[in-house]
Amino acid sequence: MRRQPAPLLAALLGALLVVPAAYALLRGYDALFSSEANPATVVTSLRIAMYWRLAVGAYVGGMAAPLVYLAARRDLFRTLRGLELGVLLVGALLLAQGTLLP
Amino acid sequence: MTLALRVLERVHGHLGWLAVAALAHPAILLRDPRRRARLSVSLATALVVVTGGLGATIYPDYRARVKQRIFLEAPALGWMFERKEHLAVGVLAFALVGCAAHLGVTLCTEPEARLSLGRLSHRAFVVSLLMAVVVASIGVAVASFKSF
Repeated sequence: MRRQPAPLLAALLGALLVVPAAYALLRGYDALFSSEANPATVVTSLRIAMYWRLAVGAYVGGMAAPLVYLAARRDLFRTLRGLELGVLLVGALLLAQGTLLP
Repeated sequence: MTLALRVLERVHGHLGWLAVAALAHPAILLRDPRRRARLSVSLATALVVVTGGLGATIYPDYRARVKQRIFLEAPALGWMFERKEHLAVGVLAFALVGCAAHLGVTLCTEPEARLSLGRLSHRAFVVSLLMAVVVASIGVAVASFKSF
């Protein structure tokens, strides 16, 4: 069976959008619910939380990609409209997390 | 080693502002979703990726050498840098989304889907640009306070 390129593109876009969304949710959860050490008292730690969040985000994006692909195969235009809205929502989410829950 | 990190930090900062200028181009140009600007989109995204890669390269040393000192002397500035990190992720992700959507328009045959991808690309570059302005401004504030 020949793969259609447009749904694959939609899947790629969906996966890329999920990365910052997952990043913002993970950081928001950490800031709200986990007790973190004061950065002024910690010299450094082996675990770089930012890289960890990006890796988890990439993993979640990879999981979301097949779902977006299936949705795009069913209705490409509606899926793209959803992704259009997703850009604004994810942007707002990351902006809110970045400014309010650093 | 310290000198090399200092140079890389300066290069990262200058490339960051160049990336802001480069992102402004597709953000303005793609207001019309039918408009094609493959070179502008590709170069702007490439600059963002290179800047982000450089930042990620020096980030572990920043954490080990600079971060604690900033938090001790000016905690507010330390938290500003944390904000910069988070928004920088957005700059990179949205630039990649915008680039993929713009370059991928040719894969779609339906006119409605092509228009939708054009709008998506424009929105992504606008969001990326807005975040990049904040990121670059915070970067200057922090770098002028303390460096490697």
